[in-house]
Amino acid sequence: MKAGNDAGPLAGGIFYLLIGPVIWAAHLLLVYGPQSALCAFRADGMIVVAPFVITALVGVLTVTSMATLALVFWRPRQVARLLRFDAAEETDRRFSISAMRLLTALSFAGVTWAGAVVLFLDPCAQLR
Amino acid sequence: MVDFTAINPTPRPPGELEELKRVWATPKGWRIVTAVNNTVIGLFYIGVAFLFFLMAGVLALLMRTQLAVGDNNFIGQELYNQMFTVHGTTMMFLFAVPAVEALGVMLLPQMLAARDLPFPRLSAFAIWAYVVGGLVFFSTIFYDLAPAGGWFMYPPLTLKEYSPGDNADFWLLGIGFIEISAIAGAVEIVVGTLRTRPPGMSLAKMPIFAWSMLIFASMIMFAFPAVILATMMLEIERSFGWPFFTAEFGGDSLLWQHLFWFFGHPEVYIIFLPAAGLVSMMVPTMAQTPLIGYRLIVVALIATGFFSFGLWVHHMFTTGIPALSLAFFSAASMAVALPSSIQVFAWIATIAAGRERFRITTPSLFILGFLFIFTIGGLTGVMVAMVPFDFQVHDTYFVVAHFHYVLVGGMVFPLFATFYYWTPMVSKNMLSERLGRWVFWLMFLGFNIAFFPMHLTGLLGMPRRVWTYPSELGWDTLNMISTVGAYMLGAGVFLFVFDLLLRFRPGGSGPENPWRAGTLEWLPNDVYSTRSIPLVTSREPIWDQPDLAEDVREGRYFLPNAPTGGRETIVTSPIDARPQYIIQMPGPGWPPLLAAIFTAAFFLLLTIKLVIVAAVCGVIAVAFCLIWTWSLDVGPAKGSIDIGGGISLPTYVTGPTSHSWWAMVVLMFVAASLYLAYVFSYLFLWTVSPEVWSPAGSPALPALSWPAASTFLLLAGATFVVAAGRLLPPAGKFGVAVPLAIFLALACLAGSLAIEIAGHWRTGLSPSANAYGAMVYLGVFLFGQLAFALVIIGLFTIARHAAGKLDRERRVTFDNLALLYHYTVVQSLLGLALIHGFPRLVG
Ligand code: HEM
Repeated sequence: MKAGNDAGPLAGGIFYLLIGPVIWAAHLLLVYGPQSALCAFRADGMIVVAPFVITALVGVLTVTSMATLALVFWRPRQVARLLRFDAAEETDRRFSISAMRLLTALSFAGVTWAGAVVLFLDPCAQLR
Repeated sequence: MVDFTAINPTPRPPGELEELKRVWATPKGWRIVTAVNNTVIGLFYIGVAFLFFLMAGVLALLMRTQLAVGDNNFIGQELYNQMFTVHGTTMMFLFAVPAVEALGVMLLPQMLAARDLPFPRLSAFAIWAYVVGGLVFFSTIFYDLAPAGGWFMYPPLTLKEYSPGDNADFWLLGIGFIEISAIAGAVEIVVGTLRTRPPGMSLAKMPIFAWSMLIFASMIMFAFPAVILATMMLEIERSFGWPFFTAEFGGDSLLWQHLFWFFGHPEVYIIFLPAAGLVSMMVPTMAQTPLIGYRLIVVALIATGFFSFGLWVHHMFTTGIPALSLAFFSAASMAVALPSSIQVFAWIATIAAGRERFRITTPSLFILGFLFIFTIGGLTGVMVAMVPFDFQVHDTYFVVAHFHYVLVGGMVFPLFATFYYWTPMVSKNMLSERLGRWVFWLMFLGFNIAFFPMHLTGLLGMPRRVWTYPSELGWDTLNMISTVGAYMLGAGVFLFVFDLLLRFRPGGSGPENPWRAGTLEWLPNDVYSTRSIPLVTSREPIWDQPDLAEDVREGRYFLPNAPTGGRETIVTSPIDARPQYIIQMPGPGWPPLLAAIFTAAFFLLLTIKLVIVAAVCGVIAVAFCLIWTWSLDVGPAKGSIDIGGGISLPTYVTGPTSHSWWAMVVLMFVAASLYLAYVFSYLFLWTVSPEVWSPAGSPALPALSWPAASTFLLLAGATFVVAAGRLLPPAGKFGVAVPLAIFLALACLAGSLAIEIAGHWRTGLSPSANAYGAMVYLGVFLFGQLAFALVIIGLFTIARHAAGKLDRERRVTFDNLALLYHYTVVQSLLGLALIHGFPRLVG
């Protein structure tokens, strides 16, 4: 055992591990925020956008997020290099790659699940 | 590769152990209240949390007695309303979160073989604040002063018009204040898990409980600020009439729901994740095999923590939000079931794969009970995540059944398992296994008998939060069964308390490693934690290194003594756990206790509108905080010390490596989440009521020269702070330029704040006119809070420099001031852009 610092910067390490869920959160925020705001404006008559614009927006954001997640899953080492993340031991490195990939896979499921609803529902309809 | 050069020669020099004992001795007699050691205050913390469980449990039994038969008059309507509010609030805020936080304080240092958490006095402060604040809050039920708006305190019901009196204020100020104590605990836990792990325990080798506590504390950092902001807004509206939640003036009560549930939903996972972490520690021991799917469980914990922030709208399905938005959150609510089920399967697999047959002990029974109950709760959770189903059962007893299944199953059962499992670590005797079976079966059967029928009463249409119901509706039998079950559950808890009184004897440890566990908390322990701090090479060190206990006890590992002559522990790097420095920690003392008592007094006296006395208490509290922090920055006088294994470590560091820098960064994250919640609220109210916004519905904004002047002063202040840092003289010298620069920086800050207030005031904008005015002044208020803190820290920094305790090397206090100052500048610039830019952009 030697005294000293970690192999890579901590912020890079945290972001590396969490990149999947971060994309998931960004997706949720980006589809929910504009969609609910645009629907509120339609109801007020302030800005009236056509419903298909909202649908398309959600669709495009979903497909983009899914593609990004797939890319991250496919190229974990490149992402690590980009974030200057490295672990000192091989076991730790393998641990972080597989944890990151699993989280990305779960986030992919989450994004697909949430985004898919746009295929079935009218963008601003109320349930009652 | 294991590097055994770490091992110290033995036998160790005489007197080392005695020195350790002396340094870490617990204060005797009534001075025990000044103790700060985690083993003492942790135990005290969990004891008080359990007391709140018992008291809220008594309220639950009284409510169940009232509901046993229809048309009952045992408890009147008003008292019943207060009871469910106090029961729910106490269980969530005063029992569940503090209990797991207490377990973190108590168990983490032992699991990480650290001598203590990095900020012992902060823990003590948090605990005392909670004890005083919590007891006063609970006692309101005895004087008809308790809040009655339900544990989520929805406005408009909780606005002054509909909830007159001080009752709701006790909730808002009392609970808001306890949240602050939870945040203090979270700071401790984040820094503790990341920086006080033993050498070699990289993140991938960290015990699952430590992972779960790390995620728990991170979630607190991001979730609690939302509710703190919300309580602040509601209290301001109640006291001063700033209409954040009143529709008539452009406010919206839905804003409260968004903020509350942005906190409230993660809250239930904040409660559950540590409990799951505890289960992940106990299952491998009972199966005598390493946890199957360690990696999967870490992933599941992180994913649950993250996803839980995307579910809050599922509490608001019936509020009239568009269907598509609901569907996003319905999907997320179902997605969160995936990581939870990963954990359940990993536990079942570990039980199945055991080297020995899964041992049926009392802790294992509680774990099996937990699996059964929590899974049912999870399944009904997926049911209510479906929007149409939720429309049917919203606000009925089905929901009461669901959340008790997840809360009692997911938290109370693991907690009881924990009590039985870890008692030998802190008590001379174990708890009785024989009585334990009785406790378990009474609690398990009682729970199911009490709560399963509530699914049916709910489906039959019985609403929650009703003090009584007409007998002819056919709900009587089911309610009677529920009440009988509740009393059975109560009998189980009573038996547990009886056993506890009989056998629990704190102040020493019982049989060594009675369950044959593999993790470090089962190493021989004393007040100083382990005699020496081991080098960790695997996840279950005790299983993999058969001589570990002996080697640790004999002092063959790191830091087998107290070389600085005071309390200390090793700080390691956050990912790979390489030793970095020795942190010198404070010992017992009065200031944290007194600061906590006066802080609690400040908030509580404010509740009953004794403003002047409250202010005096506030000043005293701040004074005690300053006395306490005065002794913290010990400086580099002790030089470097040898911790064994040929490693020599400094005893003082500053900058990004130091734990105090880390604590400040964590606090900045908390402040940033609070501010983001504010930005969200501003934009939310604008989408709801654009008609009250400037310039159409409110006075036009001040001319751009006003925010420009504020900006200039902020940037000038930041420059003064940078200059002060550069001007710090070497040790022993006093430079008048430093106090001057700090003073100018503070003056700039105050000037900027004054300009911002004056600018809006001159336009005629009033905070109580409408929601826009209220939001503008709230932004100023948040800026003012930071500025106030900075003025105190700034003057404190100047005083330290004048006293010769702050110089170029010994600069932790200054670094903290600089960090917070720069943060404040960034936040305020963002605020200026929002307040002065946004209405111009959209207006
Ligand atoms: C130990 C046995 C318990 C029993 C018999 C029990 C019973 C009850 C009863 C009768 C209510 C009122 C229902 C209504 O009128 O709508 C209630 C509400 C509630 N309980 Fe419990 N409870 C127990 C434990 C817990 C625990 C451990 C927690 C949390 C950790 C908890 C959290 C809540 C909450 C949040 C509410 C909702 C309060 C509100 O409507 O504002 N309970 N419980």
